[in-house]
Amino acid sequence: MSPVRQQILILHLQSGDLGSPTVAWALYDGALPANAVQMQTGSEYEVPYESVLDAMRHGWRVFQASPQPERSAGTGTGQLANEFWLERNVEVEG
Amino acid sequence: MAIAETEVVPQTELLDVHQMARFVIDGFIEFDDLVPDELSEAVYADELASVNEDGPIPEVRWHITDNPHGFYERSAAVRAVHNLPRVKAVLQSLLGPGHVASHSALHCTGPLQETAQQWHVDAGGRRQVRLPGVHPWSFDILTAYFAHDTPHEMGPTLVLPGSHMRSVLGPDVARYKNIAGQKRLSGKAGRIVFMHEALWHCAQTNEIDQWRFMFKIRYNPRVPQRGIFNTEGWDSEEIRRFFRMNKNAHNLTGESSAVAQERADWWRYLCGADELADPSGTGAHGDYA
Repeated sequence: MSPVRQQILILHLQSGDLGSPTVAWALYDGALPANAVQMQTGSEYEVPYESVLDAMRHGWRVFQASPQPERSAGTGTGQLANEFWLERNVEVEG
Repeated sequence: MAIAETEVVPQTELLDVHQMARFVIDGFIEFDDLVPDELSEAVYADELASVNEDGPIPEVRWHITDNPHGFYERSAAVRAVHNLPRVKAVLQSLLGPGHVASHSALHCTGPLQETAQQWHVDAGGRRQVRLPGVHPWSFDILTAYFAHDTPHEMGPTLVLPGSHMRSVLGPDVARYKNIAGQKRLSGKAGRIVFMHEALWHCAQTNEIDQWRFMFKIRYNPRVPQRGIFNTEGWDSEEIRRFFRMNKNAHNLTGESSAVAQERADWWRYLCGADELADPSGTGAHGDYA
């Protein structure tokens, strides 16, 4: 049996609805060897999945979601909100 | 060595309200026509002479204490670029008279560079996390000057328009890779971009078999940054409409209401107007929000 490695996909959505549009995405691929180039900043201009629901329909499993953003006056705006972590396992050559 | 700017540019040559309003929305303003071609060609020659097979030569390698202005001191042409009257007018519009260049650096990216820089904000980050005593609306300016053509595939600096309104520290945003609205500062030789210090940015991969250069200076203000550009028409219906039309500009994950109000407050500060009272607490009294 081939060994299995984890791929992590981080999606940020326009709102807390898992069907709302993707506005940021990052892929961290545990199946790539150490000397391979992972996803780079500015490498893509088309979203890989329209939403979290779209990614789920393509086999990704959601395993973490950010808390609902706290929008009190003191916090202002900072990091991107509506962050979802997804994973899938892929086989690699042993 | 700090490079102090003491001359005062006449107000008619300063940025106007349309240009400054664009800067407030985007966090940067770019120009293609400030630098004569022959000057950019001279800078490019100096840049090419600053790298060899081992990378940048020691004389231009930046160090915060030992070499904070290596290329600037080495290249008369790059000094001439940043002393052009039109360049100085933009700097004075954003920073006021007497601003200081804290440091500068020639960024050199080798041919066919496959890895990009991570998203980051240069030292300091957003104003809320700055030291006590720093005015909340104070900001530094980073200039990015490209002496040669930098098409998209050559990977000129990537910026996220509007991100200067977010409170983060330098490397806090490194998790992100691709973000809707991200923009490479591609353009022809001579392009110069003036960026708010809190703008998210990163150097990009270089798919072309040539060195890519970007020369940066970080400038600090020495006066309150209000009423220092050509503020005529700051409260006109046209400007109010501009802000209303851009209320949702660069909104990514639901921040637009808060950001629009903050922009309105900043705009009034920049223009030398008092803050408006907001007895309703709805944040709707700015007129620009």
